[in-house]
Amino acid sequence: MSRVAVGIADLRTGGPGEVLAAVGLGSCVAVAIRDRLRLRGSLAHIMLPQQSDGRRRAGENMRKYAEVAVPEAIRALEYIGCHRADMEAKIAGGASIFDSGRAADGSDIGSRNVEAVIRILAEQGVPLLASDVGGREGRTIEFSIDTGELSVKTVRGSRRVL
Amino acid sequence: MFEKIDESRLDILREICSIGAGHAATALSQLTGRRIDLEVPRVLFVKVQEVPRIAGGAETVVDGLYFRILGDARGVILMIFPEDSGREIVRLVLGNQDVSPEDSLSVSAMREIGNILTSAFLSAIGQLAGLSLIPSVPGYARDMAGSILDLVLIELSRLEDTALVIETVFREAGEGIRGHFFLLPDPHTLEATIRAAERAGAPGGSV
Repeated sequence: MSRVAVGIADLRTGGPGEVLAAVGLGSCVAVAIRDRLRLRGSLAHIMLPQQSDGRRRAGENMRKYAEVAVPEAIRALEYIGCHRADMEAKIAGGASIFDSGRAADGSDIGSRNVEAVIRILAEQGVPLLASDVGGREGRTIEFSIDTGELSVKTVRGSRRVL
Repeated sequence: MFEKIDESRLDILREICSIGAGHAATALSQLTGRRIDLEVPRVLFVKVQEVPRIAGGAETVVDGLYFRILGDARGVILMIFPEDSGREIVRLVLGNQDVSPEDSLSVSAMREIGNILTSAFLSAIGQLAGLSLIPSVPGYARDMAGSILDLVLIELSRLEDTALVIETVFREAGEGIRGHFFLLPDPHTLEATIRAAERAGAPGGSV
């Protein structure tokens, strides 16, 4: 079993025997997508719903945006032979860690990220099977490509499996 | 955006932050009754993804205090104490009472300590540069460093994929207390801050 860490604003795909992990998700959201018949999956660690002003800067890492990372996670799987009709998604994250933790514009980024991911998955035609989102606690998640299980741990020791 | 900052301006930045952090360390010494030293601040340009690593790893449990800088310049201050250090500071400030970290007394003590340190830091810099810098109400959380940094990184990454991080480490002469102090200036107002410090004749620059 090999564990691959997916850092903030990153996207990875994996195959049989692999576990994709994202450590210390706060208001970021991890999107786990898996082709249940072909045992391939991808994990995106997104930071923001979309680019706010629509202007791409030179060399900008676009994978931090849900609107880019989610379609790319699906395409990456199609590229290695997966079929969209057999894909399923699970998501976790989108917490609001700080009590006064709102963004400069007053919005709650965590819940905006969650809303964006849910909407984009629906647009892309990938069903959302389970989610563990919101709340006040950070999460560490592990996504098993073999079983499709998404395990979610928090600092206070709770553990859930989606 | 940050590439325009040359070495002599970085020196000025390092110098004013060093003075600001000195004031904060003095405040922390007075609060805890322990001698707290600080390292010379480091000015780092790091990819946003790398910030959790320099804070000791994304999964390390820390006490985090988060402030937005308001007034003539913008930015974010984040203080991170490893959980045992956080507990030790609260214990000293509350006069050796043993309170659980989840206790509301302990949380408000932590918040107040953050307030005092940040105000000491910002007022020292403000005086040097002739700017009015005010900390927001503190946000507090005890969680994984990665989760605590998320919000800050998200705010930054709207503008830049590289963060300018000014980092200083607090350390008690004995052992016990350690902490990281991060200043993440808004790239739009950083220039103005450095220029103001230059005009005000802040030491450190070769101008």
